[in-house]
Amino acid sequence: MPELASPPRAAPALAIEGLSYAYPEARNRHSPHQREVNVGCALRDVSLMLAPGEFALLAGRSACGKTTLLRAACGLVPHFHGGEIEGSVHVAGIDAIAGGPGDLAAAVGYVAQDPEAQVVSTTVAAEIQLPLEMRGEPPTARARAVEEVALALAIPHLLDRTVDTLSGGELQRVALAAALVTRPQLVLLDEPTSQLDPVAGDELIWLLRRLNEEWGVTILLTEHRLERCLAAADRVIAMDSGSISFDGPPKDFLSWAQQADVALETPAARLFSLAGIEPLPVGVRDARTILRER
Amino acid sequence: MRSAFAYTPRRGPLQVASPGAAVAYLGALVAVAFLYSSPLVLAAVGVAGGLAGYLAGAGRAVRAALWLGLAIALPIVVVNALVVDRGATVLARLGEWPLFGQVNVTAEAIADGVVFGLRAVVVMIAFAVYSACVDPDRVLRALRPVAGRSALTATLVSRLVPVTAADAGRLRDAGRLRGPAAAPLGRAALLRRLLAGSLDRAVDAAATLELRGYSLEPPRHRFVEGFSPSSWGKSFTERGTGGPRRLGGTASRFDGRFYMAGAIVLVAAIVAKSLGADGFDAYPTVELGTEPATLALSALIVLSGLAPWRRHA
Repeated sequence: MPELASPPRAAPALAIEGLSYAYPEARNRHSPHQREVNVGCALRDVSLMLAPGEFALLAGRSACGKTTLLRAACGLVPHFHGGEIEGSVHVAGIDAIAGGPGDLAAAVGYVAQDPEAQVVSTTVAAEIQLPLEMRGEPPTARARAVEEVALALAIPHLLDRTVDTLSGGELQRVALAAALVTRPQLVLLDEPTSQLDPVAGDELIWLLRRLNEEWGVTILLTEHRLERCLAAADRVIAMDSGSISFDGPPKDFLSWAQQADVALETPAARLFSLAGIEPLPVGVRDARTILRER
Repeated sequence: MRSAFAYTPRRGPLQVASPGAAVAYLGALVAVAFLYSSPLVLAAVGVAGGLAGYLAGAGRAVRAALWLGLAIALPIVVVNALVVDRGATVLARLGEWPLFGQVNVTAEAIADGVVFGLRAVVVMIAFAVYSACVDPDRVLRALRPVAGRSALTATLVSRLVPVTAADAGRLRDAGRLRGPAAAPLGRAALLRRLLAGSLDRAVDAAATLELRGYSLEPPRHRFVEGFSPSSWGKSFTERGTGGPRRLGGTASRFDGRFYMAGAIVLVAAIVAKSLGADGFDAYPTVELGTEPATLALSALIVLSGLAPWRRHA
């Protein structure tokens, strides 16, 4: 009897298994005995899987390992920063530890916290098309890709500008465009709204949500102002001291934060819990609906 | 405020020319500055570089380089005058100094220091014109297939010029905002923080390039593979937009002019040197040769500064 052909399953956008990592300087600060007991690790036994098309929010206090996790997912850790690493990281089926940022460039886009530090070209158009140029795409294809991504991010008017004439918000969009232009499966963003005003920050989050829905790109985003992006996220992953302390939907995260780490509560959720209103809202619309139904 | 040394896109011949042509011309000027010690020739190189900068619209960069060069040249002159006691014309006897011993300031040591300082100034001017007029993106494209590390270094340096200037502005503002009672932010402290910050910036820029695929095989002979994740359809190349192409800047009609100017300056300098030009000796007494070869070379170098000139319509 012939075997039934099973449909091919897409590789997870990000698969991390038992990942522990220590920066070189952290290792040097501790004695050999302390090294054995996992002291100084930025990441400790992290396991995480993101399915294609997910929008995940990485939450946690400062220095809990969020940025290091993003760096590991794009290959900068350990290839660029050095240090000791254990476990495995796969991005769209590519081994990030065996390969490196260059091998992952097609599969992952990374937007760092400071937009000024991640722009390397003179003009906006040159900056956006740089990843395609590195890959040897012909000029016509580059031009078309730049136009597509510029339209998607509403920045066609910036293409001829030099990067040093852009505002922080504009630079952030340009950095995002450069990360998206190769159409990666996974986009990693490290506090992308930290230098933006509230309106521009909200716009960026909902732009990411739209790209996630329309283009199917998987997004892993770290953010301190959780109230801004909880409503856009499908899933929240909380970190504490280099480990994952929560992984679940936004509504469950708010209940968890109320018990486990009040610093991660959103202002609206705190207000609702003080007023004894249940359930806790993940966003303004949710809050309005809850209040209306009472 | 933008740094005076930051590249500004313009339609001038020096900006339009391919990076190789611009480097050939400016490099020839720098080579002559290191080949010759005659103040006449060095001054001619400085004038040519400045003229080229002004004609290319980089006058601000030339002025900034001049001031910066003078700030570097002055200590060179002073230190040379204090540590070198050769020379017949003693201007001042400063007695015994700790470490230095007997310090005699001679006119010859000062003249020698001036030559060193002048060389620093003209090299600064040439680099300022390069920084303000040569598109670093084109340098990266042109150099990457043949010298990846050099291209990366050139890009990082070019990128760090405006970023460091912006950082300096922010640090100065932060110092002012501390209020009048706070200790002023000294130049040394500012420089130290800028240096530390620029190293971080360089690492960030290098990481960004790495993430953009800089370490991939240079694309000269490589067909694009694996461009598209399955959810994104086929790659642009596979969609029928053409095959791979050689990267690097396209040639400009001004290239020949700069290659020619650079070659003429360099060849003339070598020929003049073999004919005995560069008549300058600081010790025991200053002797400045003004033989025809030196004068002709100086005039030729100054004329080469007109290379970026463009007849306006």
